[in-house]
Amino acid sequence: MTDADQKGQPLTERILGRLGRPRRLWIARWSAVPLLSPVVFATAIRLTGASLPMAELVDLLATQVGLSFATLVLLVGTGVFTVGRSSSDRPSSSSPVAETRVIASSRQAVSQLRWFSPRSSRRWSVPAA
Amino acid sequence: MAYGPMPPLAALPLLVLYLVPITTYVWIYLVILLELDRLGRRPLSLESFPEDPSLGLDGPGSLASSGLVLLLVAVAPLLVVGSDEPLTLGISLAVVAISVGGFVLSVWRLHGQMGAARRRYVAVAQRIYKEAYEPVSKAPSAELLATHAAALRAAESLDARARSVLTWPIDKGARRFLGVVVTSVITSVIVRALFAAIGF
Repeated sequence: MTDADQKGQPLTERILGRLGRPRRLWIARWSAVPLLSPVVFATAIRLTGASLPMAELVDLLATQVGLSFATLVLLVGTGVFTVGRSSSDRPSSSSPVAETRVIASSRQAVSQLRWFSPRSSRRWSVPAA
Repeated sequence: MAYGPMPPLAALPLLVLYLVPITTYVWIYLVILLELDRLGRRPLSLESFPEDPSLGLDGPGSLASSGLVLLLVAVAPLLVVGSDEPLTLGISLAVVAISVGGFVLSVWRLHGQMGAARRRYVAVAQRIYKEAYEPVSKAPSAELLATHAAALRAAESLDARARSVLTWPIDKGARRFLGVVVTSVITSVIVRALFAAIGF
């Protein structure tokens, strides 16, 4: 994906675009980041001379597994909303309006979501004032 | 802060790293909802009747409902894991309520416009049916009924189609699926809380 293609993409898509291929592997790695947190947290506690009780560690781990799953689903979800668009038909994402058009038009909804241009709307339109 | 500031500070970079996808998605989802609300504030001429019962709004509607389903699927395990305390349970249920409430509010105005369009189309269909039936009602006879049968059938079909126009920009299947997801999440959270309350 070129820099021009990435313009207007959500942040995670830009980052994944820069990371290159294989995309799925990068998504898996990113989703695994929350699982590192208990390790780092427990190690830091040990360095302070204290220790993390097992029950707390299990609780922390369960939460981080949940966060890992959420990260995976939301990374994939963001990709589903935005993938497969070229920069030529993608407006800037400087405003929510434009961002939504990016997301929406990336799916089949493209033909229905052009409310900014009533002339191009085939199925419903905003009547002229 | 039972262990001092060092452990949270050490884990902070990781926190930032995995919060990026979550906040990005939430931002995108909120943008979609805001745009749907903005769309609903504009008077739309919903003219795709009779070929499309969703009046052309199935695309935006399914986009928003997909967004909500993904969000709920993503947060469901977190809600279940954290629902063993009354406060967390309250927060979990509030998160679900806000997500679903935000979704409903964003399509509320579109729902109003679609409802008005349906009433309009039903009124037109009924008027046409009345006109088609008028000659028969003036002089009822089997012969006259046979003469006007085709017109009456067409008018009846138009009436049925007008009544099937959606008043929400989501088709029935998607609505059912959304209901199943929301109910499952709420049920899981409550069941987990009950198990925690009895010591499991």
